[in-house]
Amino acid sequence: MRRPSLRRLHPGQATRPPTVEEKRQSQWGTSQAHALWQSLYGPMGAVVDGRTVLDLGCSWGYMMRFLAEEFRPRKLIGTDPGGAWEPSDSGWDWMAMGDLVEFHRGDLAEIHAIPDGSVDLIMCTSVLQYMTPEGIEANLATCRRLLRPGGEMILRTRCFTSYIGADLHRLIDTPYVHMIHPEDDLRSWVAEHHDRATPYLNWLTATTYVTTFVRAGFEVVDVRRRMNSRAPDVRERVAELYPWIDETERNVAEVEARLVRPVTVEDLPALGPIIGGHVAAGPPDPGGR
Amino acid sequence: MNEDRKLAPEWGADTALELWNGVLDHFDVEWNRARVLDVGASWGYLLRHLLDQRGIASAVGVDPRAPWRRLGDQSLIGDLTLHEGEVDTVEELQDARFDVIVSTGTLMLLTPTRQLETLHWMRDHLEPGGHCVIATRTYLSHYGADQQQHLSSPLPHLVFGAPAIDALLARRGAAPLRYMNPSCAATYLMLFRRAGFDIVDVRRTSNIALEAARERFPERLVFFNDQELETSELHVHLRRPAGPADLSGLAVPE
Repeated sequence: MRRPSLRRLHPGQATRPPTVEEKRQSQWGTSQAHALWQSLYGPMGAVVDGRTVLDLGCSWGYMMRFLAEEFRPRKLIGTDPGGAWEPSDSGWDWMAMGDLVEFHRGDLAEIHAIPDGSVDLIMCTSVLQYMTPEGIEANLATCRRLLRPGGEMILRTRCFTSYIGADLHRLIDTPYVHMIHPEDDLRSWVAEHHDRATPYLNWLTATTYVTTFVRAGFEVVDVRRRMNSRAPDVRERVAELYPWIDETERNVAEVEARLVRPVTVEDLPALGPIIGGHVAAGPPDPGGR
Repeated sequence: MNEDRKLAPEWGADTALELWNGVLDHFDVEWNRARVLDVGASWGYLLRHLLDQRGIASAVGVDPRAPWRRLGDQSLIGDLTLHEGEVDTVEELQDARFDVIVSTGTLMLLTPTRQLETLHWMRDHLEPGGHCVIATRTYLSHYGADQQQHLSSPLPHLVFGAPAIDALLARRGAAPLRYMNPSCAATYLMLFRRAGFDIVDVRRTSNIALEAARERFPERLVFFNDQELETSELHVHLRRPAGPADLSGLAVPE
């Protein structure tokens, strides 16, 4: 029996994803930051006023610009391997803000310029899926170290079960294609039709992200799953290929999470002694009182 | 369990029979006259069973720890071919082809990227149409982080992070928990397909600590998917596709 056509990824211009060039535009950054605040960070209860906020995978800093304009943060830190935050690239003159804003180029797990326990809030959107699972663990360990006890991390990540879970939607006009065909076959097809390599995205599903958050030492306060809605006919074919996976895991497009760096017994020495009703800086007198 | 006890012939024979009855025999695999590789073979007890009782043609095993060197009775090895190392680093295996590859209790000890590399290798070294049977713990298992010998609480690794558990173990004078891959069953299935296998059949075994964990930590487990939380082990029958993939339905976006 002939299999029905699977070509239904982009039914019209309205759903075309933005190009890399469009994502560098100031206007795109403004609307993206607003949308992220409305849909993710606001509902998750992010507190920015008076806080040190780190944007993991900040791109050119559009979220940081939004926070600087809408709130009164103490400090904004952006990290990204790409590092395209020169004012001439984005049009945002962040240098005029002096010490309020700083950027670090590279993988957060390999950046050592940010003091431990100095960050109140870490934001991370659509970044983890591009890391290897080992890279995720290393970055989460770094996040935990950089956060003060009680500090929070709010994130959204794409899952492999997303209809674009392997970022092939600009190359192959079939949603969920990475769940249907193995990576070597897709790599060969893309090389033949586009003369380029396929992008790397990891294969984690929603529950494995949650186990990874817990294992890294975070307390999980909230998790929300955003489900796929595209191409129900192709989703049905995926369901036939994976009848052993419940739809509630198989059909997750993205995971959002609010994580807390717990306060532990090991944090007590850093609090220092209480003198005259105030907590003194530094470690307690080893001789005690 | 005392590691030396695992070197006893009786333990090996009993464990192999349990694996046959509990895992291998549930899948439609042609064992007779098959060339078999065991990835993570320990001292070869499963291969011994398959050779002596299931009619396989040849038995090759690979294990990085090479415990067979500590066997009291080296005659147990006999006609098994055992290699020390990882599958993709043992020179003698690189041109080999197998009809069946098995791997039990091994994948969960590998980091995610090593899992993918190992699975690619396994697929490439199967004959077209060849079978692969895998039994692996998931991280959500009641033994998910191998914590049961130190901690009696149900599923503590899903409630407390590794830093807290390792700090507790340190205070008790115990070593940190050994590495366990954080994958749930669904992630493993995505991984197998990504590596190039057709998934033929899947069985999930139950998490015997879940009820007690839900009673003690109800608010801490709600963020895990129920089916994944209920799965302690994953037993999977995979096959290398017999022929090239049909990609004729794919197209470049307009």
